[in-house]
Amino acid sequence: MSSSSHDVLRGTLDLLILKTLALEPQHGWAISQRIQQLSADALQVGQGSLYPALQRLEQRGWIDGAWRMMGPQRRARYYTLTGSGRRALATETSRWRAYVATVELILQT
Amino acid sequence: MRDRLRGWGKRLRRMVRRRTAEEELREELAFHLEMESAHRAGEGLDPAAARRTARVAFGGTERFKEEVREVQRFRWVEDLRRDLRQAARSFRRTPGFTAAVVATLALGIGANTAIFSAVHGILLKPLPYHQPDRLVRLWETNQAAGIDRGPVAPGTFVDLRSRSRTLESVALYFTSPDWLVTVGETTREVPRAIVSPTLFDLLGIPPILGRGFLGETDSGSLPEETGQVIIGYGFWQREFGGRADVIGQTIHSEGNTPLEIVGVMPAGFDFPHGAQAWTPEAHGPTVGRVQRQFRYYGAVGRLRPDATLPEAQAEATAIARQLEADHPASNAGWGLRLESLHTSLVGDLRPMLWVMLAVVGGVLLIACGNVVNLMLARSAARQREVAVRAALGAERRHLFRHWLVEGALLATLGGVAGMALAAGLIRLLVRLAPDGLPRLDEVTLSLPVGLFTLGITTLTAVVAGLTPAWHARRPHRAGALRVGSADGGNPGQTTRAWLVGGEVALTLMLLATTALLLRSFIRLSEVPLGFQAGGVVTADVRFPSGRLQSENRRPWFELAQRYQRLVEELGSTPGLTTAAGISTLPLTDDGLETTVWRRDAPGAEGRRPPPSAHDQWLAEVHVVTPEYFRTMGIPVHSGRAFEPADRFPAEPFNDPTVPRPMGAAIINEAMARRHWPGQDPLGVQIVTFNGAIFAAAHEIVGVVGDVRSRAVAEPPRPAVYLPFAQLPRSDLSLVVRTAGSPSAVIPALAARLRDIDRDLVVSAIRPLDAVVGQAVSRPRFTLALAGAFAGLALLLAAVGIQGVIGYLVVRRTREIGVRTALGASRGDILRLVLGEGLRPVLLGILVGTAGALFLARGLAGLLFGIGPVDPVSLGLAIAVFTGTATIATLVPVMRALRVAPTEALRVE
Repeated sequence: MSSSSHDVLRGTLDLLILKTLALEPQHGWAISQRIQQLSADALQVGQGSLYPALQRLEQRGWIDGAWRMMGPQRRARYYTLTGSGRRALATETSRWRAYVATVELILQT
Repeated sequence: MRDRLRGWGKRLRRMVRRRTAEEELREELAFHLEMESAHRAGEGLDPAAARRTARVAFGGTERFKEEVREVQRFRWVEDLRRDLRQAARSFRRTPGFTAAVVATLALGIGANTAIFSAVHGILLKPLPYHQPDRLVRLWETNQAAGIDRGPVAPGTFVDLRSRSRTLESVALYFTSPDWLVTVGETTREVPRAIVSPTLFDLLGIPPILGRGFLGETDSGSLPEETGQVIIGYGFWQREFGGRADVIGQTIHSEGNTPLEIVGVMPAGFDFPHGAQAWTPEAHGPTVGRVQRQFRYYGAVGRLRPDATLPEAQAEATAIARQLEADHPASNAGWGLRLESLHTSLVGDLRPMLWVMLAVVGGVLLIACGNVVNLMLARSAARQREVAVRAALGAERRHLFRHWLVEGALLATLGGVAGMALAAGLIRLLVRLAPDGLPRLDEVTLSLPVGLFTLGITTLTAVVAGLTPAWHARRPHRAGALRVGSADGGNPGQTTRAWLVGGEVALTLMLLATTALLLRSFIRLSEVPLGFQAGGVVTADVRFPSGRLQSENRRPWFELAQRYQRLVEELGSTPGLTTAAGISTLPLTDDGLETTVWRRDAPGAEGRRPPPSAHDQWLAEVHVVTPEYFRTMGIPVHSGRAFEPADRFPAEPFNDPTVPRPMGAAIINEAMARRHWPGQDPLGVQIVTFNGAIFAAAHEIVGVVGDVRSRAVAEPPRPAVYLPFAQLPRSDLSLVVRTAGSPSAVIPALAARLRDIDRDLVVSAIRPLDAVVGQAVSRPRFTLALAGAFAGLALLLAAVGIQGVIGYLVVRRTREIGVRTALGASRGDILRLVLGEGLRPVLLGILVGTAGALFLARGLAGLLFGIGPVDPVSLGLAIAVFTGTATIATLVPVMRALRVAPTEALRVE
């Protein structure tokens, strides 16, 4: 693990998962890969936080998990963004931006 | 929202199928590992190394499996369990508090459950018949005679049946409570109803065994020659051991008529009330004038599915008008009233039951008030604990939930205890209930009653938990943690004060209700009954006709002689002063009245009443033996009482060809006032329909004082007394006056009756006072219930007041001490303590007074001789309450006055 890669901050992981799933339904491993790729390997998603997060989001009704056949004997659990998940993504995103802007403002002083 | 629901659904599913969820998670993780290994292998590692490094990167699976599980689980189930454990532990630590709360709640919930079970069983539950809401009771009414619910004449019934289009069927019934039946060797009294053959179809209840009665033929007679009888379940079980071969067996009724048992009714079938045997009676399409005139049947009908009660009433009124026009002699002035069968059965209990429910509802509120009070006091005591927990990071909602759980747990315990208490209370209620209360067997702990209890328990839980929870909302962290904070925080003291105010108001309302009922009952007890019940024993006796020696089918003369001998021998028995008999004891008359007319009324002839309804009077007719008025202490105002000479020889009884002689009659003052106001009725000859069987007419020989014959509260109606020797009957109520105690002579009297005449059947021997007591048993029962509940309320309120003022004193001990040290007088201290403590009490008294006046309007139907707005009752209630409240405050106030300055400084 390079020194420039970070564990995802706890609160932002939900946001990143939602963002990933906004593109297309994915299974857990693919989500972690996608986050890693999109952040150019800057962010590492620990499995220890990924699966609890998925459960949490599913219980909130933001994502919906379902088994899908990947071949004759293999199946994977795919997660889909729900309607309220999409809305949550929008609010979480703007909240994040506001937060970042605020922090930036402080750091510039 | 839907997504969220789905999320909840998943959570629930997971909880139910924990194993499946586990497996799914394992599978999902395995898949992840596989993908990761494949990915690493793709980057050039050999498969084994790839899997190993993947697993290393993955980390310990158990660690985060647990984390996932944590999310999955219903957190609150765990929390709830913890809160419950905590609550249970803290209750065990404070058994006194717990017992007080649970007992208080159990009393409130138990009383409510018991009373609600009565309300449900009697008022709310539908009658146990097919489509009971379509059943109506029919009455004949006569405004001029003051009859608003009178029995029905067969003639009216027949015409109504053929003309009505809103009623699909109608049935008559007539109850004779003491029918003698011989089964095999034993003879028993069985309550029997003579009914229209259609009655069972009308009610929609078929026999469980055998069949119902066959319908009437077109000519209005019964299709079968042999007598038929349908018997009740209890009779079947008792006499035939519940055997199925009872159908077709024969029983013998009085007079040796054989009756074939054709059916057995199901258990619980109780129509008309009390009947255990039913015999059919037909009323043909053509009826004579007599059948139009003599109204003594009960009548029920069933509405057609498309008809409403108002429609049926309008139609019945129209039919009654037609009958008035068609048959003025018998029907002028008579109307028809329809009432739902349910109302007619239980309508008069409605006000009493609702008032009782309101009263116990008040008791429950007061109980809740005290429980909240206790919980608040406890929360004040635990303020520091709560503050510590809050400071240590317990979330507010956790503390909030904690109080709610405590409240719910206490309420559940109270509810369970209350339910157990209710089971006992219901048994007690049913046992103590006055006789003749309808549907008493349906007063049980049923499912709806259980739901009601659950409802009030939940409500109690919310109230008991929410108030302290509300106060725990903002724990006074710093304040409570401060050392020496005995008078620091004050959570809920204001709430507690207002709670007590509310309790005071409610208690006062209940006390005022009881005071009103008490005053009304006293008024009722003071009503002059018109006779002296003290020292009189009464016995219901009869000669079964099978035991008479007379070969003749008209044993009347023999009856007259044997009863005459009986009362004479009784009267000369040592220890007994006088003895007599009457057809119906005072206060037990069912209100049947007989048509009476002047013999010289225009158009009257023999037994034919005058054609003008104006000349037909209605009066109670009582048949009495000569000593009756003296035995009962009924004053003779003018003329004379009956004498042994008021009798007929055997011929008029047994030989219809002998012209009927003139008999004697005595009327009561009400009759004299109504028909001969300011005149002397003595010497006038009157004909009473029944009395004209053996006599041409009866000459009025005396006027006696009025007697309450139906009910204590009902003013006397015109009454005619005829000599028993001129109108004998087989059953009689004996009245015997004794110099000693009535209860003491009962065994001797029973033995003496057997000695005098072995053929006599004696059914009930009791002091006449018991009959009087029975007549006022319903208001007495209401009063006793209200009194018991008001007493309970008063006790609870007193405890509440004492608690609040006591707490006030403890809280201010130091202040009182300091003030005393600085020279405050006892008066100053009193003002200090009571000024704050009694303000809500005084306000409660004001509000309660207003509430009592408002509530009293609902009581109007239960009151006798007293208006709902009664300052005396209200004053009495306030006095009782103030007295109790004073005593309740005395203990804490005395403590406050005894506070020594030094003691005050040591309070910490």
